[in-house]
Amino acid sequence: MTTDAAAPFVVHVRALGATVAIEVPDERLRLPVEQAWSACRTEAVPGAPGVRPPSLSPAAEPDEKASALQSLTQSVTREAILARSGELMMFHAAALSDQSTGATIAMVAPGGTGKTTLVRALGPGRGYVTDETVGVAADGAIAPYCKPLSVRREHPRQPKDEISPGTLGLCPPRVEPWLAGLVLLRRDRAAGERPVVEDVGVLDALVQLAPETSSLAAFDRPLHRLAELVESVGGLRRIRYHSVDDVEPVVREVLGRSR
Amino acid sequence: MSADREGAAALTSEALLRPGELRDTYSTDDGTVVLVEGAAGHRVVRLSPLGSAVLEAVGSGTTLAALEVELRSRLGEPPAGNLSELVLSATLALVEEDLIVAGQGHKDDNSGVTQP
Repeated sequence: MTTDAAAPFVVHVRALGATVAIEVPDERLRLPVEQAWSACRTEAVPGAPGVRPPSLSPAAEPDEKASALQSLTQSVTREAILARSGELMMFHAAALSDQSTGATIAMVAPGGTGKTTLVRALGPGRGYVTDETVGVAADGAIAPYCKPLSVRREHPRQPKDEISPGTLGLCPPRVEPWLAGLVLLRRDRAAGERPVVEDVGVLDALVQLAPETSSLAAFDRPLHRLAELVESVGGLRRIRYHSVDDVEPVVREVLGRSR
Repeated sequence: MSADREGAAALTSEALLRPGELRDTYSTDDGTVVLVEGAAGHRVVRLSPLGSAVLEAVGSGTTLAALEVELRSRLGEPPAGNLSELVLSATLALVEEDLIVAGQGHKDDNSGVTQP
């Protein structure tokens, strides 16, 4: 008997600048976890918050494993958000960066409205920052969260698949990302309708962005902090679109900005 | 009976009004938004000009009757409509949004205070 036989299998990942320890007791999930989280792997940090995937039944089918991996992703996200609460302004958003300058666009939208689809389509050749949560420091620096992409299957009642960014042709940012632009996504245009890009005044921006933030109230004077961030990038714009091609020009323009 | 009328019936002139759990207020020349902690979590609410005046006049606590007197003093009679009805309507809207908490009893009622 060796000590290693009893050692827990743990994968440490970097999420929003925090380290989270994923303990995987079930051998059947070890390889899928390692693969899915390959873009976030980091060194162990003593005292890092820990999470575990849900237990599998003895005869677990692939859907049960997929559900466990999806649940694990949500757990990591929660722990990372908790760890950075009051430090980062965090939005439900997808984000892509320019690989040479770090200029980053944060595309804010509620869950299930196409963030992952946008990232998959517009991300190749750019820095994949996240498809879920964008964390912005007071100086505009973004803490990446290169989590596995949660890819929806054809049947909406089936679990999503957690797929590593690399498998989808996406690369983590090569230089530190910084917030260059903030947009709110609304996929409410019909096929053939022209997309609409409109400025949102700061008061309406606060009303519309607040529901898409995490731990906003953890800040001292949270509305002032959020307003400063919005104004630091020239204000919020709303993109009403139908297809990902409609969003590409705005992404290109924002990623072309300099600090 | 509409919700407003039900609320109006419940909100007497002596009802104590006090601010809700307001975490932050942000104002520009275009208006004011407030971050409020309600039963369903935090929300940001944009105030109408009258709503903003009502919230300010409520201060740390007042009654509906005193609020109306205060706002008549600050704003005068409205060009159209009845100030009492406008204040009641705006107050009910703020109560609905958790920006104001309406309680029973007079503001000098100390029945809830634990005596030594």
